[in-house]
Amino acid sequence: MADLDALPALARRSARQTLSRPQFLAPVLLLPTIFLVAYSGGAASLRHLPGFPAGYGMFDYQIGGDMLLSAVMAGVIGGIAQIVDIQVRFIDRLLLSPVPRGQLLLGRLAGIGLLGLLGGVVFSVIAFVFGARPARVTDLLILFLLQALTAVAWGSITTGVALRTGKPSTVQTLLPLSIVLVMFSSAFVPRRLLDDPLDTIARFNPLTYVSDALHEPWIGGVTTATTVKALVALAVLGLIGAGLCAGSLRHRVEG
Amino acid sequence: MSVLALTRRGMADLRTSPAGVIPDLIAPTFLFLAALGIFGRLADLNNFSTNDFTSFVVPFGMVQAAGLVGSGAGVNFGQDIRTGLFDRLLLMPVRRAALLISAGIAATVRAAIAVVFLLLLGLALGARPTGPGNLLLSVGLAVAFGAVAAGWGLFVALRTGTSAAAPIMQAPIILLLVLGPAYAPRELLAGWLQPIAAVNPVSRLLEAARAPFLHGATWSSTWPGLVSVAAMLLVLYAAAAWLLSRHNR
Repeated sequence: MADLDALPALARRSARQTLSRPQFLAPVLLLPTIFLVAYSGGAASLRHLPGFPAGYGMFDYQIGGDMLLSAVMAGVIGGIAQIVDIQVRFIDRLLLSPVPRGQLLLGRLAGIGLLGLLGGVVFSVIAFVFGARPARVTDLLILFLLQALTAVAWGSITTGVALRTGKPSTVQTLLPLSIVLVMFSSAFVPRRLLDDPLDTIARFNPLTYVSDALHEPWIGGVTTATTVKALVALAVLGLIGAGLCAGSLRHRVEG
Repeated sequence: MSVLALTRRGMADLRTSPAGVIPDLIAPTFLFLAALGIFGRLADLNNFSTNDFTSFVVPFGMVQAAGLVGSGAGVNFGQDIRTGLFDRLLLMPVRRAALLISAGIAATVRAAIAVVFLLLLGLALGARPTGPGNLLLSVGLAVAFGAVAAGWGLFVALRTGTSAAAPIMQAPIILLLVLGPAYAPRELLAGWLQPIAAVNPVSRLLEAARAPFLHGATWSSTWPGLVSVAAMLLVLYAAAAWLLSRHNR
């Protein structure tokens, strides 16, 4: 029973650790906002090109891309928060406690998921304020779920890297790398408007499939096929992350 | 003399390890390549000012690189203030202005390195300026924006006294850059953005730096950019100097 009690407490601590620091919230909320302003205003004419979803504006398209960026940033912040725990040796104390190691990771990932969800809610409010509407209310719920799962899946990879290396500089480099991976997907421009080699990169980038699903509520409505593809992509990322976390934690314990 | 010595100190890391410039180049390079890749089709629009998007976006890449690297001056300055080194420098027999000018020059040199790198990358990707004189004008304006960004970074560092204010140093610079004709000419921006771009001083600078890559620089395309950059330099360095004059008094 004590084991079950630990998970919510660890999740709460993980969420508090990230939500209470402006430098952790800025990449999740401020950075995507800058992208939203820059791309929806600066590249607004893109909507006139054939291949852009008919009847929608650049803002409608950008909002899904910025939600993806926000969720991925939440994942990166999770890794950086893990590094903080390693530096202050909090993780070492937890490993000496009787809490199962799986729950240590789940607690961290639950906090990351909450941060991702926060980004989803904030950008949905921004979308509403500026006139974008989801096709159905249930679409919004699917969007929030995908948003949280994206943060968790990406966060599992960054947490794994943090546990493995213990180096702030290594985890910090994941931030620009993650932005680049989001940009090299369909997040900000539909794939039909991407030229090679970017289109080929986007095709093999799992974030493209997540991005397509996050766009759908604002562009036409959620479809099962796209949502399933996104869930498969997230499952692949999550499995990579889970393997990385398990191996890294074992490495740290045996270390 | 003191300005030269302090500038050399500000660039010590580059002299001992030239590879130290690489982190300065990563973000601007990726942002430039991403803009080039994802918005390239904008040039297919009939009313786009050119069909060569690479030439259109290279000046923005250079100005963006200068802005990102230049604003980093505040990070080092803030760290010196926080660690107390700045207070020790103030005890030296040098004018306070020398501390500010040297930090600005050191950041501008770093920005110039990033600008030249982005230019070479752009040329390798097919951008074609209209002539060598025009090219120098474009580079000069981009580097000058590096000095502007450094002025802002130094102002924020003096106001906050910490390097942790880095997001406040960089975010407004990026916002100023993108709230203008960054990826498309002004007439193709969203309706709400056009009046903002019209009063944004960086728009004039960007258009002046871009003209040499499109149809060639003329006096009428250049002077608004020169006035904008001069005004931004004057305002920001005067504000930073005012804060410096009040520091520890």
